[in-house]
Amino acid sequence: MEKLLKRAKMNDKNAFNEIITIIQKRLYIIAKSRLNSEEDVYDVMQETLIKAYNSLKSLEDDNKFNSWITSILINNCNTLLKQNIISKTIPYEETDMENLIYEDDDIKINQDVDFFSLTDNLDVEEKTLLTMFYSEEYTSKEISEILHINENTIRSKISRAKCKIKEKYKKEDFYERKA
Amino acid sequence: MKGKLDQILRDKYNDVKLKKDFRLDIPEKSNGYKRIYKLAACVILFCMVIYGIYYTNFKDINIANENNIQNKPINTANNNGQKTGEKELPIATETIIIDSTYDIGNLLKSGDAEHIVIAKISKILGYTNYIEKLGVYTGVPITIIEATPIKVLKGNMSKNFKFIKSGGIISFSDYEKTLLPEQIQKQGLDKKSKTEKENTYIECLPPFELKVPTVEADKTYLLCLRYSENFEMQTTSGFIRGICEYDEQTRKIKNINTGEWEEIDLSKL
Repeated sequence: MEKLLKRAKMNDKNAFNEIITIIQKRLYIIAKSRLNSEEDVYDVMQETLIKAYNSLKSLEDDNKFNSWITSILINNCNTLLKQNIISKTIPYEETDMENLIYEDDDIKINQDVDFFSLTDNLDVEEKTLLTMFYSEEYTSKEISEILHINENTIRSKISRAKCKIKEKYKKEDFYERKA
Repeated sequence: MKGKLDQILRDKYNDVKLKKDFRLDIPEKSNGYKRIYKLAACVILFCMVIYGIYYTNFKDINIANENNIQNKPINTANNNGQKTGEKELPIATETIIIDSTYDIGNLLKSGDAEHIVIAKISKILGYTNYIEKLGVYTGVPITIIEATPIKVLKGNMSKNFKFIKSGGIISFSDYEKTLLPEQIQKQGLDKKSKTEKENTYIECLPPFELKVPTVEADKTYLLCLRYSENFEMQTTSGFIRGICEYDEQTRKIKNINTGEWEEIDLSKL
């Protein structure tokens, strides 16, 4: 990646396209976690790639390319969300997850449910957090910097998000609501 | 220990398939313009050959182009914030990506800022892209600012404090130190003399779509700060989003995305 970045910084489009091949799936899933329309996702991806290519020289530390381009992507998504006003964020305070305890065995998820359907009851920030976490390409520090979430709270937010998924996919007979 | 849901999420994540591969696709419009520019360039070159003139100074659109350079007044400073000069200088402008994701509201909640303070700017001390501690030049210049706190909402801050923010004005010769030889050539800096490069400046600004405030003396700002080990000074946390204009009368901040004045609840900090 380091060599490809150096070449891309010298306006080598082929090198940048090779980088895209490596990172496209991860960026696509993050964009899809924030935007409803597939068309919007493709537009935002293109915009991000062009912006990143044109601004690559401003990237001082090549090791931060991953979080840098993700920040550009999320920023572009946010701009589009503001234009379309389709974002609905549910504050954590409104979701009473504290009293719900499900074991992993209590859930049932069909084969045909994809990642996006599985997480569609989460708010935008939770979806993005999960996609970044399960991509296994971001450190907690990077997630913290990109999403501006305190590093110590990432785990608890993931846990809450998973709780929401479990709530959705619980087996009716097995769950219990604790007082 | 990883649970069943972790495994399911990981599997489902890995199962995601792209419907098509992405490629760098510069819009047709700009390609069209490029073709027109190339055609125009060929015609001009042909004409010059016809008239027996070999014009060697033909170059790409670049940062060092005279049309990009305008006179502006600036200060320069060292890392201690000591002013090293003040005069009207020729400056080119380019935008830099020094952006992070969230607005100041999220930044306040995130706990990322060590100090949150409403402060009046005393003076802009100057600009630099040299990190004295590391002995290196950075591609993103900084502005060194002196401010007086009006209200400290989190942490503590001395009577007159200095802080830095990303973006600023530096000489071509300092800017050049962060570029690869190919970039120097591409940007036309190789055609400038040493004296020209020392006396011509570049202003690095955040992307124009963001309404990032121009920091001015005597104006009040809400600052989210944290300590920069490199510069050994407080720096705006969350890059450019750690600073926004604050109206003391209405107690509103100016949103850097929309440019609108907005209410902000500072009581829960």
